[in-house]
Amino acid sequence: MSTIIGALVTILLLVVAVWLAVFGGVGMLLAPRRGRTRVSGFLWGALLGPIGWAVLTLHRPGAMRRLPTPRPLARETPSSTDQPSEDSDVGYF
Amino acid sequence: MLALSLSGVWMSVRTGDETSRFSGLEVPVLRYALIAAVGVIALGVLGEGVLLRRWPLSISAVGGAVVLVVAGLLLLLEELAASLVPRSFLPTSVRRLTLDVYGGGGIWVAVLTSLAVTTGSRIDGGAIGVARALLAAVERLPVRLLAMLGAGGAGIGIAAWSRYQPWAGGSAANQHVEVPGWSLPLIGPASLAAVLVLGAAAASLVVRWNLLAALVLTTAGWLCSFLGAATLVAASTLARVEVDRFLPGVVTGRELSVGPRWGAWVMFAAGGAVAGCGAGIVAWLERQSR
Repeated sequence: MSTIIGALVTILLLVVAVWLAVFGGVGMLLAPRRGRTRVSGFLWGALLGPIGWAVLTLHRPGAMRRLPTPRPLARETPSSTDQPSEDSDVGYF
Repeated sequence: MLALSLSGVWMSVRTGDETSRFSGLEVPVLRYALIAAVGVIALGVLGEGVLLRRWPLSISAVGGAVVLVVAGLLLLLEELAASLVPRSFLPTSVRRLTLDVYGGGGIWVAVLTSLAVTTGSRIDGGAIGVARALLAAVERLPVRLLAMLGAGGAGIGIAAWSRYQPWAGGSAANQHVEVPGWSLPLIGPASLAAVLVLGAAAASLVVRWNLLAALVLTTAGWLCSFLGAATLVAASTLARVEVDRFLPGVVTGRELSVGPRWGAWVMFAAGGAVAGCGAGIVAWLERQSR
């Protein structure tokens, strides 16, 4: 049992702590200039590592909002000839 | 220097406790190609550079490229050879005699010198031109970045050196074996790749300051640190196992022990330091671009 606990403590100190410090720390550095908080930058880096960095650096804040808004379709006034009369079957097929 | 490197150690073969070393002039077949290439380089410099006053040089660049390719491929094969040996197919009696092949100082000097010869031959001003370009690039670097790159470069050098130091060791009945980092399966080739990537990223940062190179430097530094940590964790966990309890009575009492050695700690520390330098460069670049 003490062997397992000792191994877990070693792994925690040498592997997990370094991972969190390196990837989470750099995530924190990358986040502010890209419109994110330092906490979310740390989480992206700590959880996904270099993939989290890629998400942080490639994602542009407000990119979707900058897309041109689609114009409303021009509404055509239906002419009297286009309107199906109540007696005809046009419009039901 | 390139000619001298041929007489240095190009290949080391370790079987059990014995290590045999071979110079570049002793490598079968390839030695003729290497001697010819060095001769071509000398002729190119004398003929094209001194007599014809033509620059950039073509003949010596070709000769340098031949040495670079031969030495580079041989070094790669040597570094990967230990992990390519299918030990599971070997009989148990032979498996005990670990066969390891690795490079030496001579082949590393040959790779670096041939790279310098090839680059110098194709750049105006030759070696002086290369030195001036490097000096200009270094002078352009801000003091903070230069300090971080200097510290990172020292870390890379230490990481490369630590691969050849003992990472794990074992002893039984007054017999002592120490295993260097390069010869560990998977970890050896992975540490070579990590050190090469570190060198490329640092060189890229000297030429042009870009975020991607800083992130690659940080990741490769972390990888070096992780490989050292993996060895430390594995060896220290094995050290906690009471092997004597599982062995027959004849073998017990022979003071069997397995454990990590200082080389793995050096790699862990050097990798962490380089990753820290990479993070510092990222912070500096982020501040500059605001």
